[in-house]
Amino acid sequence: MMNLETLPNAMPNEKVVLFLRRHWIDLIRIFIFSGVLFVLPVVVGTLIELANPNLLAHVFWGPALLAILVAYLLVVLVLTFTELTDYWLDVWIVTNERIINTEQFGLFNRVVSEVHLHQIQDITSEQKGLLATFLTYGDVYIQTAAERERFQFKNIDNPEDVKIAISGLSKICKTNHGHQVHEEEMPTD
Amino acid sequence: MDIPLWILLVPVGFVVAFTVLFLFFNVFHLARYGTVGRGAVALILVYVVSYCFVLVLGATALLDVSWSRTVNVRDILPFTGSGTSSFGL
Repeated sequence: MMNLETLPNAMPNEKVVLFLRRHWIDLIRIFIFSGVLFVLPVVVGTLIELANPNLLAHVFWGPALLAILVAYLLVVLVLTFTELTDYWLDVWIVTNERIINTEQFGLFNRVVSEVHLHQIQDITSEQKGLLATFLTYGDVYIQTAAERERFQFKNIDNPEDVKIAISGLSKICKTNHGHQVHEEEMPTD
Repeated sequence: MDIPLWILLVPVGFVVAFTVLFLFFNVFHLARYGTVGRGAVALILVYVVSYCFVLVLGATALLDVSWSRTVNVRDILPFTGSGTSSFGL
């Protein structure tokens, strides 16, 4: 497990300032989707009962439908787990030195990247849609000087506040690094 | 031609094996890549307990069927066969 107190390749005096996950609305979406999938057999069962009342008591189709139901419920449960794991493992850690972006795509695709705050050139926050505006969630895009795709914080809470916070940290970091460069350039006796 | 009813349990067995594997991967990912804290541990517990609950519930329902019976292929067609219930009988 990752310990926030001891981040990988941590710099001296590096502290976690923000720990971000996707907004809880994504969690609600997962539960609604899973809920619909769990209720689906009840609807199908009722329709079967209406179409052919004897089918569920049939010598073959009764056990067959029961076996299908058990298999279906287990698959839906595991799919729900996978979605929850995906949600849980998508994290963005902002320290006073860098941003660590950890994204899980399904179970077998994981991307971890980081950018130093002094490399940041542009920060954009975006809230799209009615629900995002009311619940104040959205995306934050971070562009660096390097030729790489920009960082994206997906569906995070209060993207505007996060943008302001990162912007402030970036300014402090750039100032500190500027000072360090000048100190290094100065001749020592 | 008669076929044994237990043949239906074979695909169920494959699904159980497949889901157990995925449960393991989910738990492994949370344990390996999650952040230290009660959240990941609670999530792992929820996964294992809810999976076991559904598995036991399903197994209990499946045990009520007499799987040793055989069924004629003609009886599989729901509207033509003269099949009777195999639940606990």
